[in-house]
Amino acid sequence: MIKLNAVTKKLKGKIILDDVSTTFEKGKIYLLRGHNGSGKTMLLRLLCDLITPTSGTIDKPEYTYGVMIETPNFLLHETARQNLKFLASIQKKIGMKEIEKSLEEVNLLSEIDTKVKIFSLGMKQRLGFCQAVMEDPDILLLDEPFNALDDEHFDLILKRILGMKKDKIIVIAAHGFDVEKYPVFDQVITLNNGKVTQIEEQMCN
Amino acid sequence: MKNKIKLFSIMLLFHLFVLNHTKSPLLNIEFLMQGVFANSVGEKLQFMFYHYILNLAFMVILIITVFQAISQTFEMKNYIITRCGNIKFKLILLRVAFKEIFVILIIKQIIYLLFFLFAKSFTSFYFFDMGSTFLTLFMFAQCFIIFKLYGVKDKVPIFIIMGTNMIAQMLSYEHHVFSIIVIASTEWKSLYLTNIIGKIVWILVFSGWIYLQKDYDIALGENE
Repeated sequence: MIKLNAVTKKLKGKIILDDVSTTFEKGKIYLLRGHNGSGKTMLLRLLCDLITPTSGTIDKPEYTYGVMIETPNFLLHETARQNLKFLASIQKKIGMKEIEKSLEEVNLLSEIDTKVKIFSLGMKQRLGFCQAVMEDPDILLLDEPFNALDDEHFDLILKRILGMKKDKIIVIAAHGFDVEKYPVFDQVITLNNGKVTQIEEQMCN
Repeated sequence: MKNKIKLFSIMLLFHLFVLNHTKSPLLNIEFLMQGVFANSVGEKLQFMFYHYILNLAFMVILIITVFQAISQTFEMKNYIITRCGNIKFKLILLRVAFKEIFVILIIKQIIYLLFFLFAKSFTSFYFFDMGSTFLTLFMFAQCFIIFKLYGVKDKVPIFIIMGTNMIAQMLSYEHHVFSIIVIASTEWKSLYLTNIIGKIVWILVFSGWIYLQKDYDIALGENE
């Protein structure tokens, strides 16, 4: 479980997150909603320790993270295989077999030896998702994971996320996600100017 | 591999553009790395503007090759830091720089081999050049990493480091202390130890600086 206690983040004198208190539990999927600049990405960065809060505390045990924050960036002159191999070599938890499996799950196995520089935005997005989930992390933090995806791959990624729900904390930041059409979240957190304005429990399917 | 062959071809081409009337092809390498010229073997090396420009252009190729690799790895910072933390992220950046410099050294080695075959002789400049190229490029790579850690965009450090190299190369002909910043200058034979020690001290200081720079908020360009 991750517990945020009155977390505030200031950058260049501006309050980005204002007194945020909420809890994230295992086995649940959370949606962070809000317009651009509402603090969604900053909250994701705080959750995975990329930045520290200006005030307030975050209580959590030692977790492993899979993140996809901002635009997916890769070594452009290298292939999908080389990029994922490079990232996998940091923790040395998985081998080529798992990398291939996770590429197959996002329909990218046929492009494994293609250089990332010729990937479309949607393909990069899927590769970004792939690197986040390939090591089976405890916490999955995804910033606009459905951007630039066609319907087929939107369904594919959504299905994959739902399949991993059981033993993970999954937090997705998406500003225009249709929660009525896809009632898949356990909780929808609405942010406005860095403040949590609404926490809505959902009856997810 | 294609990129490495391209880099090799470009580097070799630079060596072939060097003017050399000494009948010792090995001096092509020395003239290029120092930006100097001599009409015959044993003659005092003199500054030559054409070779100076050739040297700068050559340095641009080497610096850009190393910086590009660092920059692209830096773009993956979120993926890397969440996997291994801040300190290891910096080590990975240094490792990437080291790997790229190593490739450059291998290419240089092949070029030396080719020139050795034609010259059928040996030059002590080889040892100095290999050591100094490694240390100088690593020094520049560290500078670039520091700039990146402070959230500075790529272009700024590239211009600053290239500008520094350009000025230092020119000044090094008169004021030999500046040869610490460049790969080689005219007085390398008498000052090789000072140059190598100077570069090592520089690298140690920068290593400490990189290690101590901890605030990731700054790398995001969003420091308070």
